Amino acid sequence: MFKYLIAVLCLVFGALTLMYFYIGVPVIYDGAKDVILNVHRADNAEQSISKIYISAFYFVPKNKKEDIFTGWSTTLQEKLEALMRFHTVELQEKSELTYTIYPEPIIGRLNNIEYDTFITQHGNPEALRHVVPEIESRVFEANGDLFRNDFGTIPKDAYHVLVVMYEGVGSIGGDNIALISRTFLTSSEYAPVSESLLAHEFYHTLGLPDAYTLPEGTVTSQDIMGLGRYTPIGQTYLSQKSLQALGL
Amino acid sequence: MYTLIKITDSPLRTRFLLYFIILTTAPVLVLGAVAISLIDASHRRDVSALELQLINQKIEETEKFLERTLGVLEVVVGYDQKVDIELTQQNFFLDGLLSENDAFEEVSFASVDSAAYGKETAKKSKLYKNPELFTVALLPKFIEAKEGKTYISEVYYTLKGPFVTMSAPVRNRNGIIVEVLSAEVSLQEVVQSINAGSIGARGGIVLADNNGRLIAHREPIFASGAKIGNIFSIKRVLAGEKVDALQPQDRYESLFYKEPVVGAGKKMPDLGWAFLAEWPLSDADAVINGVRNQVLILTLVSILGVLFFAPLVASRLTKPINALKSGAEEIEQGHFDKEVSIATKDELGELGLAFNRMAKGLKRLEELKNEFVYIAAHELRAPVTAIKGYVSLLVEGRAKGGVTLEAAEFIDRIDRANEGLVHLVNDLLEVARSDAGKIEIAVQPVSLGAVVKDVVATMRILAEQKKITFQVQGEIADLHVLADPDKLKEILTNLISNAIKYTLGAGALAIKYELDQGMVITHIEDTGVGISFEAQKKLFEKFYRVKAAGTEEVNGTGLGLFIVKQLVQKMGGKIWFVSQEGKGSTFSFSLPRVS
Repeated sequence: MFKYLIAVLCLVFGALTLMYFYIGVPVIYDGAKDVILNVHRADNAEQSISKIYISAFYFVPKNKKEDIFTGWSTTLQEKLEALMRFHTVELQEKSELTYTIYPEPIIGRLNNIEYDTFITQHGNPEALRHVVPEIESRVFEANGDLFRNDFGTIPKDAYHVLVVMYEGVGSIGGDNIALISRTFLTSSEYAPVSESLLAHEFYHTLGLPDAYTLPEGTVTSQDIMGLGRYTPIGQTYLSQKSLQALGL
Repeated sequence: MYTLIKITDSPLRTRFLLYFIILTTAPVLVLGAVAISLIDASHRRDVSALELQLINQKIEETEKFLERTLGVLEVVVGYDQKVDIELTQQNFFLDGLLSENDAFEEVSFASVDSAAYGKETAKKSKLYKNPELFTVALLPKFIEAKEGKTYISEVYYTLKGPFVTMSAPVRNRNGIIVEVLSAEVSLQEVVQSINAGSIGARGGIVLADNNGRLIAHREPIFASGAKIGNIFSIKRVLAGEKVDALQPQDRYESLFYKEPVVGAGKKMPDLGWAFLAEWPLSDADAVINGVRNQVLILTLVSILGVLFFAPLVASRLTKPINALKSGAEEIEQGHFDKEVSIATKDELGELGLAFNRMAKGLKRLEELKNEFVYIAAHELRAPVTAIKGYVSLLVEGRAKGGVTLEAAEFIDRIDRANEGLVHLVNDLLEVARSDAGKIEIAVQPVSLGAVVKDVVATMRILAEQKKITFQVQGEIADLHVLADPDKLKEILTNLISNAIKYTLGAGALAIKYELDQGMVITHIEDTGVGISFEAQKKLFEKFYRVKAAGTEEVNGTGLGLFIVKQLVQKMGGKIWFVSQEGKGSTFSFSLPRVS
């Protein structure tokens, strides 16, 4: 009989234990997991942009040495810092952007006439065609005359972008390369929107297209790829369509 | 069934205890569980109501903000206004809008006139002067307003926080659209409203836009504009699922609080924004956990109380029954005078009274029986004595004419049967006297040796007939005991006679003595059939006879040992035995020694 008493007591305290652990105790649903988002180039989902590394330059055609802007490094740094802040917010901290500025202006081997195009409505593709190969050969190749051991080491897994402040006309962005006239970054006329203009060209390097029609200039989006490029960086944004293209 | 049998075989007190524990703790447990469940259910409904109330309040505030802001843009101008408003008036009006409305960051007019269709005609910004004018004909803000509708864009996120673009048609008093007025509207007021919303000490609201991007939350875990639409709870709200803090999935590990929360959410009807209220369970359930613990402690204390009092109650319940049991055992021993005392006035009390009445009745019956036995034995004694006398005469051949050999054999049988009858009558009279307390014992110093010698002389012949060696060990000539000499002789005769009768064939019989603390112990030791364990328990009962193989022919009434025990006890001694079946027995009795 004693064993029945023990059994009953076990049942009683078992029931109490069950009450303590199960009755009125919230069950926490464990399916509420976050989904990891992978950001990538707008036109290439295989190319991750979770880490972006910018190599920035001030490029001056040979015949424009007298026009070298003395505060170029500080200006370029300020604009890139603004771009970093914008990028961090717009890409929701899913993409890390870092940069380094080549410490000296790069004096081109050619005169500006050989780099520029006269119609800058489509940016300055000529400059892109000539300036970028020259920088790559002179700076990044080991036998280049401007090659430096302390510059040009690109972090592993980072998406590498060249940003060129050009002592000439126009601005243009393409695969891995953004070029912008120094005037856009330093002229008081463009001061409120200079950072937005740089950011606009930068986002071309991530595969985002223009959001305005040519030659009319009718904007098709208010974001930085359209109307927003002429809006202060603090006021402009990347549209949902652009973010979706980037994997967000 | 096995269990039931085992339980019913258990003592009543234990069963009472078991049933009492089961019947008292089960309701306490059920009551505790039901109480906790009901309190929990009520609490959940309260939490749900609180969260949904907060959400509805925030939705209402947000809707009012948007309605109010959009209303500012719905401008009506004079009757005669046909197309573009004069530029100076536009600029003046836009300056006024910016200065009067904190939420407006940038405002602009766009023309609907075919000559400058979709072109911005005037624009003012709080951030910079002379903003560039664009053709916005392809933008939804122009297209919608030009069609006469008001427009609110999707939320976009800048370094200054979340914004929407709003636009509305500017009409003259005839309802003709003359311009499109648009504004970039900061949602800071909405953000502040969300941040101010709280439930309890730590609960708050999350607001996400229709694309699942974070507009506002008081805990700065994610940046404004962060993609949170993939977070399970936000996804459910955006999908239009019922999230009311009552569903199983509504208690989850929050990515905002990094701890379990209870969540409820609603989707704003027009814009599809998701409002999600989250309340950390550590805060939301703080009070209910206290109540729950109190109920659990109360339940535990109740059960401990039951376990403490159950044995007392069980003892109290079974006490009258145990008293009746003891009373029954006394009656079994022939003690009819002992009354059962049950103090209760219930059925058990009545049973006790009835039991006592029954005991009195039994006592009376016993007295009547004893009286009857005594009278019957007494009345039988004279005829059987007479029969014995006449049979003796016949046996001795003194009857006239003598008897034939056949008649002598019959007479011998009659004599032996009558001898048994005489013996039975004597025993019955002895028992009747004993029961009636009428045995007269006259104790006096008696020489034990003389009595033993006398009895042995009588019994030796019988022993020798069965080839049983008879031995008296020890010097007893000087031993004197306090006893009635006749009764002592009867005792010895009975015990030795039994030893001889129950020794089948040759054997040994010994009488030994022992002195122990003023008593003389006499042992009668035989090598007879012995007594089985079962028979040992009843050996001194009236009319009980040992049945062992080979003892069927042994004569006896079953009263001898009963009488012996009575006599020994009345003379101040004790009697006992040690026996092993098949090996023999030793009967011992003690009597006070005379020093």
